[in-house]
Amino acid sequence: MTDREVVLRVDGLVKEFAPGGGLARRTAPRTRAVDDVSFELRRGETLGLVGESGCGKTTTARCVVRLLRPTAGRVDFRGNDLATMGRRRLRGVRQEIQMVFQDPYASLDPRLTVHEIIAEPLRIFGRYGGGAGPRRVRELLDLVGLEAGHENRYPHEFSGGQRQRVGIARALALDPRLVVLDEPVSALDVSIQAQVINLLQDLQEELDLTYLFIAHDLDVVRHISDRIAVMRRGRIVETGEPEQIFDRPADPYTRELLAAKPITDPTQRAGREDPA
Amino acid sequence: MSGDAVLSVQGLVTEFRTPQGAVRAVDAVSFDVRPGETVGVVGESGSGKSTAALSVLGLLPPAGRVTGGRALFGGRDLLAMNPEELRELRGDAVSMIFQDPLTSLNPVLTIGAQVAEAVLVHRDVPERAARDRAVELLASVGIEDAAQRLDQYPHEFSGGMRQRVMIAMAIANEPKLLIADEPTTALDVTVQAQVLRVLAQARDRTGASTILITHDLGLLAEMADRVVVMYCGRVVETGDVFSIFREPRHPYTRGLLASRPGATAGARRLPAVPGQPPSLAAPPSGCTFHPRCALSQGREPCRRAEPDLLPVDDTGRASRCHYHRELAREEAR
Repeated sequence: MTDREVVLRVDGLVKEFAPGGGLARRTAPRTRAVDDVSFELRRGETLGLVGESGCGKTTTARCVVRLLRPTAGRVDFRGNDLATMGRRRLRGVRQEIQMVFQDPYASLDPRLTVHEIIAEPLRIFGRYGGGAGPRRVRELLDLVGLEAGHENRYPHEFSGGQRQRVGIARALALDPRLVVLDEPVSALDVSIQAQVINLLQDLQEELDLTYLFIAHDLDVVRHISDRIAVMRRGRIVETGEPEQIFDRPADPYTRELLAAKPITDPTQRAGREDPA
Repeated sequence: MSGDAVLSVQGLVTEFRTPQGAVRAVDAVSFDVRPGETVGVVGESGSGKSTAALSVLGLLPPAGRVTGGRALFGGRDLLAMNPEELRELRGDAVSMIFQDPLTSLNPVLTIGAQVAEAVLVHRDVPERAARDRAVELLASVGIEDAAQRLDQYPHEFSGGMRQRVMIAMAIANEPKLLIADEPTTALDVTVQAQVLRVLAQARDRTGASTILITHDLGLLAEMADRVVVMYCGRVVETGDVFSIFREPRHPYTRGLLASRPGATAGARRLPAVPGQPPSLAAPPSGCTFHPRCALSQGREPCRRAEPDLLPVDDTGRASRCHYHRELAREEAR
């Protein structure tokens, strides 16, 4: 993997937020949600970003896709610094970076049909017309394992797993290179989670996608990632390959996270044995 | 079988009124909870696991109605009680912990007032004594400086601390039965581990029998003595937690266990359960799991006849699968 080109290089990323309203606003210090975060992503690679709520992982993701403007640092995407890029140039780059959100119930417009939801990015970038659009939408549905007959239905007619497939199809519409996935399976039922994880891995292979995969579930992150970065209080405390993070964690916080991880089998209960 | 049970749910049926007509959310569900044991009820969204608990507690939303069955608790049928009798019972002999403590706590009352209230509703004690008891309860769930924090409001507590408050309130009157519905789902991993520990301690200290409702198999691995697996409103498998994890005898249980990323170290593809969860409004014919089941391929009985929940051995394990014996043979190899 190290011989492949670097798609994304985040260097010294900082994001501060102004304090809430009221009188405190003038005097209270700004909150530093992301504090000097650096990492690299190579083509075809999955970097898992793990940590607990409030650690800054989602803010980092939002800075990468420029839903948020970083306070400081560089977000280098194939030679362009997104952190400082102006609106017009950003628009062009946006086609190549897409995001999949956690909640497929909240992130799809309920008034649009599945066809319209997937077609929207194509229309925005002028790639829908001339018969190409409808063809592309059908191709995308097929790619994510939905039937062509589904395209005239609305999001509420689907289960959570199917909705997340629609969200993935939409994210892939413009042929992105980098997909930022923010907790893409944590709202899904156990039996459906595995389907969507398999789908994401198949798509990565087929389309040579690069993933920034954000999650709190350590087992999910271990399964899907080539490398893992552990975040705490706005900083990356440790980066490494899954085996290294799980079997030889160097940072005390990583060890704490692993110790808190739920067991997968009752025979692992401390001080208790399987009676059989 | 049910003679010594703290709670014996027998043939519970719960229906919801919907624009498409009555939908059966819980269908002939039976299980026992014995003294001091923790029964884990596991299932995915729509499986009926929470609805079954709410039915037993008389807390169904207006569209829901219990249309059959009994729930015997101390010789009395909870399903036949009037609202007044149920109110007396809830928070006293039977108490509950829900997923989201922020919506279960009153935002405009102090934590102290709410914990004391949990005592005062059911016990004729002076307010002073209730307040002392509140401090004791909060301390017992690991809230430091409990006496000082009594006058704080829910928003001044973190999610994990609020859930500790809920546990304190639930054990205020030493319940015989504790029902915890996804008690740690909204919490972070490290906080989840702490709250789970507090819950286990509270259970052990009060000796309460516990029903733990969850979608999280890890929680069962950690806490349950016995497991009830629900799918599409029905119990599809029951048994002690060790047997269920070692040798699941229903294809759905087996699929759930195998599809966890943590269970298959090294495998590139997860063995996912194919298909989508069934619609309760139009459940599949025969065995409700057959459209997603590898075992049912080309087998007429699965499509035609719903299997009964029948014992698979003499240890109290039961499975609702025509071909559960094949799963046993596979495992034995």
